Amino acid sequence: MYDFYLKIFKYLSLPKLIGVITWPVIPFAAIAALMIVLVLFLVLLERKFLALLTIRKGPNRVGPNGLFQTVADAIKLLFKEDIIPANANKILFTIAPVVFFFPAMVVYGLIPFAHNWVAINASCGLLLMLAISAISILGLLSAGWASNNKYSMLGAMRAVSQAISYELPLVLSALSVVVLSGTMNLNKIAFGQGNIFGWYIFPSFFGFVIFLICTLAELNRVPFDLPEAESELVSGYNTEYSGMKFALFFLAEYAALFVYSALIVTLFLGGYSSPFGGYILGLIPYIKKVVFLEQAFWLMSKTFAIILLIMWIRATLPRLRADQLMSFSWKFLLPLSFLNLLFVALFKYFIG
Amino acid sequence: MELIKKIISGIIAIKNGMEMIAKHAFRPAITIQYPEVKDQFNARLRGHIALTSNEDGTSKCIDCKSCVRVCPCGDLIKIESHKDAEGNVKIDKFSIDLGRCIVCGNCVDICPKSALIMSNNYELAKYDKEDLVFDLEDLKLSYEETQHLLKELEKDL
Repeated sequence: MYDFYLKIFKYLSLPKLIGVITWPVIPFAAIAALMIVLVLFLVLLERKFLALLTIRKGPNRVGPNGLFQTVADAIKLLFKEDIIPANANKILFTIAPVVFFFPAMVVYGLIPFAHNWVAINASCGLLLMLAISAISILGLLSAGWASNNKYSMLGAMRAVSQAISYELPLVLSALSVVVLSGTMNLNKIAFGQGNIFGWYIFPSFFGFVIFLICTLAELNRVPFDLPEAESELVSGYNTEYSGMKFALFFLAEYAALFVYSALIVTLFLGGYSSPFGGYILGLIPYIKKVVFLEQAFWLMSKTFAIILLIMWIRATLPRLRADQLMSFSWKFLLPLSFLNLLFVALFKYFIG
Repeated sequence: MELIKKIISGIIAIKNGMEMIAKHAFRPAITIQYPEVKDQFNARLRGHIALTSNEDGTSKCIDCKSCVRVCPCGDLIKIESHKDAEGNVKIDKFSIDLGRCIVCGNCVDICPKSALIMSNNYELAKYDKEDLVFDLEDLKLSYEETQHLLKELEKDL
């Protein structure tokens, strides 16, 4: 691919240096495009799916059956006035959405969408992923503090305390997968699971449940949406934000929703591998090369199953109280994840 | 032991809730798309005041001014009439300022000839306050509408 890309520059008689420099940009451009489209789709999906579950119709005015509602919303947000409060810390206030946004985007590069189709094929991909996505908390904190608003500050403080306490069970349950697979490379983790019987959800079921719960908490989604509880804090850390800055928060939230779901799928549900073992496209000699399409299809369908589960949870469960939230993490999830890790280690030693 | 009991009851509660919500997904939406689709209301709905009419399209009103007297809002109702050659009362002008009307229904109750009735029309949004002063033409229901409304009201009793 790389040589072919450089040949294009040679053919167009452009300097080779441009090709060398732009080559690493291409995957990120592709990921950014994917991310924007996904977020637009996810917002619409969430609104429509929630409407279905709560016996409503959802958006149905813009375009056929409300299909362009999110596009219209995005355009509206783009044209809105960008207000910075008078007593806000202007630098932090401006940087905060970017700090919140970029980890969600970088993390996309670590997800294997098909065999060896990873933008950053790092050997410690899982660790890198957890580390980078934890940076976004910093964005929340600075957004809440820089806004100079009580609600924003409270929301940010809640977000940080919540994210830190749920990070531990999250990492420990991810560790159980590392014990099982013997590697931290996400591509190898997904490849090692093979068909449905090899999925790590079976030896590490509690790990899966803990990871799902912690994902909900990390994403600030219902029932852990205390940082943006509408009934208590106006809108949490993004109360003072408007226009494109607010859109960045929104974008990052939904991008993180997708990427965490993809991570759950990669760790516990076989990632891009087919649940039946073989690939239909792999059987046909000439189309063998596009087997990655089927792998991407499996990843996407599993990921959307998880996303729909998360939305279903949102439609059902009420919000937790702050003390319940903390005691649930420290007194219940953390010991359970240690037990799960012990069980998985014993499983690996004696059976796997 | 207490903890395990708590966990199990929690899981069952969440399962029940999730099941209930999932069942709702297969129900048709109860949304009424208002401007396009209108809800059917009961005939007893207190819409704005309307004038009933006889078979020949004339009003039943005899200009007794009972409604004017009984109205708690002052001079909403304005009636002008004359007597024709046979001595029957002919209404020239009949207007109600619905912008100030509180839809109490006193005029409907007091009317000796049941010339006034509460219609089912609740859409009174206008761009100008002056547009809410309904005159004879706006207030009058046709004979068919009157009969239909009365029949519906009777059914309810």
